[in-house]
Amino acid sequence: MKPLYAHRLLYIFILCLWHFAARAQQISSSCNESLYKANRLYEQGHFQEAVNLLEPCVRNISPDIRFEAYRLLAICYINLNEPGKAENAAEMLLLHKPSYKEFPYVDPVELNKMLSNYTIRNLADVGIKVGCNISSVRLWQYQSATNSSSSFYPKAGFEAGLTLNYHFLPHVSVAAEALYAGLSYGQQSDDVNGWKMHYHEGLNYFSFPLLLKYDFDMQKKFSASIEAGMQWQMLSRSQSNLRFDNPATGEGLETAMNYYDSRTAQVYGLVAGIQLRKQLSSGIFGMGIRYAYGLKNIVDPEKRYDDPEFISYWRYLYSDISLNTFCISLTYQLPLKYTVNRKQARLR
Amino acid sequence: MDTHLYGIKSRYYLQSLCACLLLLCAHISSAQESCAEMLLKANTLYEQGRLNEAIELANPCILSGTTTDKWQAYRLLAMAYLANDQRKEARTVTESMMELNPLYKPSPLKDPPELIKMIHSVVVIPKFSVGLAFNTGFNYTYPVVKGVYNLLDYTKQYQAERDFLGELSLGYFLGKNISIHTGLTVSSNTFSIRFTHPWGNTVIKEKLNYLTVPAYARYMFFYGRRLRPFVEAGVSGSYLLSSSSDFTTSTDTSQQVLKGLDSRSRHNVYNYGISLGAGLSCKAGNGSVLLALYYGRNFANITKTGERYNSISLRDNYLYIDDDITINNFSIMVGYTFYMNYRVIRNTKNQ
Repeated sequence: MKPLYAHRLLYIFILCLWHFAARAQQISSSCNESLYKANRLYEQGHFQEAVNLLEPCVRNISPDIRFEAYRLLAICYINLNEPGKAENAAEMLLLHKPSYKEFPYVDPVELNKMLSNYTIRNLADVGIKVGCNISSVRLWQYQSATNSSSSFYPKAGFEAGLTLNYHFLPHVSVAAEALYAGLSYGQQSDDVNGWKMHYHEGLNYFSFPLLLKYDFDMQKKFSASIEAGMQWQMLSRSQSNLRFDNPATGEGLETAMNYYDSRTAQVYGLVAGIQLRKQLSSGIFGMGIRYAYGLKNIVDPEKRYDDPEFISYWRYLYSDISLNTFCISLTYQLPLKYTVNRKQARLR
Repeated sequence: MDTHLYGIKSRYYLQSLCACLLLLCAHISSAQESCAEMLLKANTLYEQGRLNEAIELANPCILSGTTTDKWQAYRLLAMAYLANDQRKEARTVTESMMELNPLYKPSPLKDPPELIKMIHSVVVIPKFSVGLAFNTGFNYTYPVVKGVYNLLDYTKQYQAERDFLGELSLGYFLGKNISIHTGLTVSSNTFSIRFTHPWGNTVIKEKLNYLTVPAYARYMFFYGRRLRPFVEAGVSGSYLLSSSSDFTTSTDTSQQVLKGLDSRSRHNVYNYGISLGAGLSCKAGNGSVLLALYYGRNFANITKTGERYNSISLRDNYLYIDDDITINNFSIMVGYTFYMNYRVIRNTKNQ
């Protein structure tokens, strides 16, 4: 009985959904028609009738032509000498069609004047980011199993992910990013008991930078921003390789290690950067550079001696280090939401 | 005396210059004002049916400085020319209007049906595109053995494995149907090798991560339709970012495993090849969703021949040395291409 009961409930749920979808479409279609009727009434000078027809319906008109309804309402209210309501409609017109001021119809002078009182600003945007990085090592404490000296060198990596910006002030925004970053570094010793040692490690992190940005020249086609903040990184993978080369024969001994358990699972650091941006179609294309300064030791010193057999055979001990990363990235951001600001006080 | 005269003269020049500047500013502002007013008047004349007067009044505004004035003037002129049955002129100004605002959707409320028809007949194509495509698990790598090298008498068996591929592409549209593309592709190419030796079995999983710069041309069929099949062909150059090998040797009593051994020093870092593809594009938003199949053939030997015998660890512990190999790929990709800007293809017959 139970499965049958569940099936019946599912059918009723689907029927309800279908009914509501059909009803919504019907309302939208009839409201689109009322826009045409209201336009006729406006052209005949029946402004109040046009308003009466449009007002209850305006939110149900298809989103792509809703701005036309608000435009018509604004003009009707101007003619009815209700400037407060006209301003509300003008504001809604710009919210639904942020580019309207750039490509308007030939409108009455009063509406043009009203629209010129508003500035439109991007409130939030979302984008994708891809880039390459290079990580240098900041040595906290050097460790060696053979008392040999060694040098650390930077290696290239990558990062990619999503970025979200919220512009809470005209020139100031907060940016939150979710990135997957691959960082890499190397270590080299020229003489470990006569052999040349190469060690390199790749660390993959889920990286979450949170930044405060200041934008310059936002109104122009080119703009620049400076940014500073913090990032929190969560280790997802670590892979190390160790190779000893015999300079005399050219032969080598090599092995690979997974040091995931002996690396710090969560690290954090300071970040700062600059970005150049250009409006491209409906989005913003950006190119930026960023420097991240690691504040935490990426290795776990407590686990350094956990595998004595490995240390004694390969004569290798890892050192205490943090990573500083320089990154060049490309972004493309699309506006999610606009805000309309009034230059002068509202009319009532 | 001369100095005094010089002072008077320079003051006179300065005053004249200021007056000229003021006049210029006044002229510019009045010109801007008059263009907006002229368009309003031209619109009234158009609505009264005085089409030639409307055209005469709106025409100077297409040379005005602001994009807004130009666009409004072109739109008004297009409506007036259409009403006056001057179709050639109407088409020219409609094309200009669409060049300024290529994504303009005609309004059934404000635009006459004739103008809507004319706007729909104007060919607007994307200019530059940026695309993002990827697959997870549908990039198959087929190794082709060109030269066999073994330490003992055994036969290596190669098997294709699947891995991921991601592409960031930039495109330029040459016409309604043809576009050229380049970009950056990151691909993981994996295959496995198995062989049996006197002490047991060895399985090696080889993973090569390439950064590839492709250059290809795409031909799309059925312009104007939402669903458009396409074919493409091109060349590619690849750089080996990283590579690793997983070794597993099993004997009757034990198993020896080495995972993630860096194998980049055993491989040539550059590769080159050709690629062929076919797929389906579906218009969605300000771009298209793509589903495509690709076949890539690479020509370079991935093995660095000089390093073949250098690894003591591989020789002694796993009885393995590299063969001469080229790799081919087959992949299924899903992607989204975003159109960054557009251009209008002008009807040259008309001019």
